[in-house]
Amino acid sequence: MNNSIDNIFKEKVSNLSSIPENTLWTPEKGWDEYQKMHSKRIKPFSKLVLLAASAAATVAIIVALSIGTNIFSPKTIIISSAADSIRELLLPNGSKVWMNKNSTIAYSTKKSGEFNLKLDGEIYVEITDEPKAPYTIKAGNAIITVKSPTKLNVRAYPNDTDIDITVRDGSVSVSDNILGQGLALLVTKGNYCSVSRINNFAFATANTNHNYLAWKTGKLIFNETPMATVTQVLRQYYGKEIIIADDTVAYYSYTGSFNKESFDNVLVLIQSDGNIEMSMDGNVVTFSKKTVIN
Amino acid sequence: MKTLLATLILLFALQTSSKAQCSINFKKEYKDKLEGIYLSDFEVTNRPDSDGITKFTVLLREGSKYIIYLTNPSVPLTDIKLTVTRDEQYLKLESDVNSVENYITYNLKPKETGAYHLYIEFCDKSIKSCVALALYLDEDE
Repeated sequence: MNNSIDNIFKEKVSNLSSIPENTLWTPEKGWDEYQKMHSKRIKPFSKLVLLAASAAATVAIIVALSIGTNIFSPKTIIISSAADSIRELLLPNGSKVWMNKNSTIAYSTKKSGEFNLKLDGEIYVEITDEPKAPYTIKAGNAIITVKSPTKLNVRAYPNDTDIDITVRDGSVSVSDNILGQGLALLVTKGNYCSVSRINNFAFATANTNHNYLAWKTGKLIFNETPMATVTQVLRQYYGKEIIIADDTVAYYSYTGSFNKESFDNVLVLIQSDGNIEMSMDGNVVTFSKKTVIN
Repeated sequence: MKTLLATLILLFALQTSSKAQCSINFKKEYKDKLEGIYLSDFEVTNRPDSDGITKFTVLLREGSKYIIYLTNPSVPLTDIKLTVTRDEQYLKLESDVNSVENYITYNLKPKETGAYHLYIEFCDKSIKSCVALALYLDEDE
């Protein structure tokens, strides 16, 4: 060992251009001095590598853990409304939401501020301030993106064949899951959009349904409305089964309005119009043509 | 998959009495007679106080074939005009008149996927009339 150190040292020293005079040295002492002088540049580098490797390993462990435990995923809040009442909420991003009966929303906010809301049921949303980050509502296979102050109603009960989006103020873009976000319909104030759950067909046109917010306001308005449409609205609003027994009744037009009336009162008022008579069997109401007795 | 990717349009117009509704007639009289996969139907009413033009915007897919049916049993079919545009360009439509069933068939095969605008215009704007629009998928495509 000593011989080898001695030899190395001597070899190194012989390479030096000058050796200080009166230098006192032993192979061990000289080797120590040599190592102090020449290893200084290597040691700090090794420490850095070690430090970087440790940091990388730590990050890798945290990432691996986070994937498994979702510690970095935004927290999802789930809220449901009861079967017999509507619910009003103020969401963390400042938007106001009214939930119709039997509705569920699940929302989350990403660190970037991006707000995502998933809907099963029906909601009316008011976004009064300019959204600072993307605001997306996912209802069935419809993806609704809000980029400006908007008021809209979204109906997407799981049993409905279509998702209906009605824009009261502002505008939204609507796309389906197949076309993706790049291709969307722009739905502006006073218009309505429908996306089929069955075939993904999406269209937008002017809204002619004046009762789309009846669930929230309690007001029903019919203006020369065919009875087929009247019964459809009543079915949706009161959740009752209504059958039209006579085809001609479907074409009767009805004009009238109701403000938070009970279902029984509405039936009485429609019947008093003269052309229709009704019968009730359990929860099923049947509309038929009034029998004229001579 | 083909069903999901392909869409077909059926535009159906019905001139009915003032107390009737187009979509009711459409569903009762025509729905089972027409070929293809039904997608949707719409109702368009012309009111004397309006400009007589109704616009629908639909998302259509490239490679799919759409058929548009237009009918109006009460007035001549020539009284209803259908126009389709894409990026402000008019699309040429092939049409076929069925005088027995009283409807017009239009075929439309989009060259690209995207939003298309359908305009239904009532030539006689002074009377109240009605149109029903429905969508079908051409199964042969």
